[in-house]
Amino acid sequence: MVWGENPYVHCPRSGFRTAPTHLNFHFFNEMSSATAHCNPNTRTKTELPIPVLISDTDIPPFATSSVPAGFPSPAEEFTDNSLDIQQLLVRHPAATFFVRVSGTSMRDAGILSGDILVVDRAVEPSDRAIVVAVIDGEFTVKRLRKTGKKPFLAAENSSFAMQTVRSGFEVWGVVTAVIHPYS
Amino acid sequence: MKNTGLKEKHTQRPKLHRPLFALADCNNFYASCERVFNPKLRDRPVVILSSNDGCIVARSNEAKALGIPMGIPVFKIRHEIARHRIAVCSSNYTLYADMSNRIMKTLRLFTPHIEIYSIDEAFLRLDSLTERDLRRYASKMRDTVMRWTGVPVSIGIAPTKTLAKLAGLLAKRDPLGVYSAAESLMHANTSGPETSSSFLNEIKKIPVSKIWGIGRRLAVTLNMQGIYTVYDYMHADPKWIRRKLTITGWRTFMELHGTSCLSLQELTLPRQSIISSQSFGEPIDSFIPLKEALALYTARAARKLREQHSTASLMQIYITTKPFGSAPRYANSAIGTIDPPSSYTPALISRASTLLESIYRSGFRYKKAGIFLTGIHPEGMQMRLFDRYDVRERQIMQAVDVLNRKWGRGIVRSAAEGTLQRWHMKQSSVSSRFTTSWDELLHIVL
Repeated sequence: MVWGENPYVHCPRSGFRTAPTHLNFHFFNEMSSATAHCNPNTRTKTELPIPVLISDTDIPPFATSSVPAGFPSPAEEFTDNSLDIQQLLVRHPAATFFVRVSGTSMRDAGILSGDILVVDRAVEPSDRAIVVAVIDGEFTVKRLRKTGKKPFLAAENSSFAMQTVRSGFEVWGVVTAVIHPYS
Repeated sequence: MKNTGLKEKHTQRPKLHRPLFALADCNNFYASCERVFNPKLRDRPVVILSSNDGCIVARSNEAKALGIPMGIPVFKIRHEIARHRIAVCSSNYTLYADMSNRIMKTLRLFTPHIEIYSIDEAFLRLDSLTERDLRRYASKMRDTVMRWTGVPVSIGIAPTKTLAKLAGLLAKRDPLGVYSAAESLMHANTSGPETSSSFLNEIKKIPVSKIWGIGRRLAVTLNMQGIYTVYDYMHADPKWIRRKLTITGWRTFMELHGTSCLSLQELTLPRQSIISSQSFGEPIDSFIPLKEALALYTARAARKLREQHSTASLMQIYITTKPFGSAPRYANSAIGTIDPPSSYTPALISRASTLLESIYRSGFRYKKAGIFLTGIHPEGMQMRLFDRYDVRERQIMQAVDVLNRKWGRGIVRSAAEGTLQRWHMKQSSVSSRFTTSWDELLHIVL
């Protein structure tokens, strides 16, 4: 497509003729890159678009102002989405829950009071996994051990006497990450 | 019951490309959701209250076994609640909706052909599976949903949606939570119609009112004709069904005989009407708070409209006092056009307010208000030559929706909704929004 000839496309949703969508997209996501798109000679004619807060991808971006023809950015082909922390921490979105903890009984495993745990119920609880477990209807977080005949739960704080739970527990989910905010 | 030749004609077809439907239905969905985050509720009967803590809208199996009826006002069973240590929860629809999404997402891993039928039910197509694999696949599906989300589901399998619904009922009683009517029906067809197939025996015991699409009133009519069970319906005179129950009853008849007439609705079409209404926590006896409440419900309805990229051209509002009791009673509604059709919250609120002024009478204690939007069109559709589709209005509402989604509902709202909102829902024992609010996460003490 040659930009200079027909910078407008028909938008099937609104029924209006709007500027090509990927150009608009830049306007709303990255103001700086939008200006970089414009040819300096024609820039004076450019009406600045009204910035709209759009972060969710399900909202179709659109523009109200016209876009003059210019050179497409050489980096256009290489644009990528910014990193999303969700991608890193959540492997199974349907099965992942967040919980907040307080207390010190798991200190040696790196879980401190006030931390947020990422709990994945789709992960198979293996030996040495940190798990959220239910004991007598109460939630707790412990390390699961499957070495002997029967699995058991162990607390991890060297200043306490060794605490283990040998029966009457049920694994609710596996802790896959700890979020520790410094404040 | 007369047995006509029709039954054989429809059930003994060669079974090429026979569709197979599964109904995945969550067991006591609301109670099960509460139990995921509060395991102490697992060995207690649980009831869930309506959005204003008025009536029972859901029960756990234990509460059903105690004979607590659906829809009963909670004050009427205060003694039972104390005697049987029944856990009473306010409804937490935010949590239920998120859990429902998780369940549907999990089911979708098993087949892309899924119709989300309600918050706790989905139809799936499992055509490609052989008889032998069917049970195993369904069990795997059930186990996965249970493990991933903590909500138990039961799965009924059959060649039609109507039969799958019935199989779903039987699956609730099955210890493994899976019931396949498919195998049972296959057998029935190869060894003659009057066989001792377990499914056909079961449906002799299921009342006709349990058939999908047959309501209570129709069931009474059928009972008068001597049709009491599903089996009776299947063996009723087809000509009578066609004449008396029209095409809908006929379709049900065909479906019960294994001919699939209802297909999977994988696409959700935009709703043709939107309702937003609620009872107030405390009755309202003056105009301003009533207007505020109506503005809030209007804002909700407008958001739903925008979510499906539609505009509305007709609006109906209603207000009502308590329908019973000794206090003076009044109820009225008003209909008005929205011109041009819009989904712009301020426009809808001002329309709703004028309509309210026309029906409001002082001296009454109002208990409920609601708004009904219809005449739904796709947004951006130009109705007349000089109508202007206002892009700025749309941008404003987009920004508002984004902010509300990001920072919580109601962070940006119309001033017409008021700031005090004393009439807000009464919810004395609502659980946290464990899955949708960072401030309300499940808290574990180590």
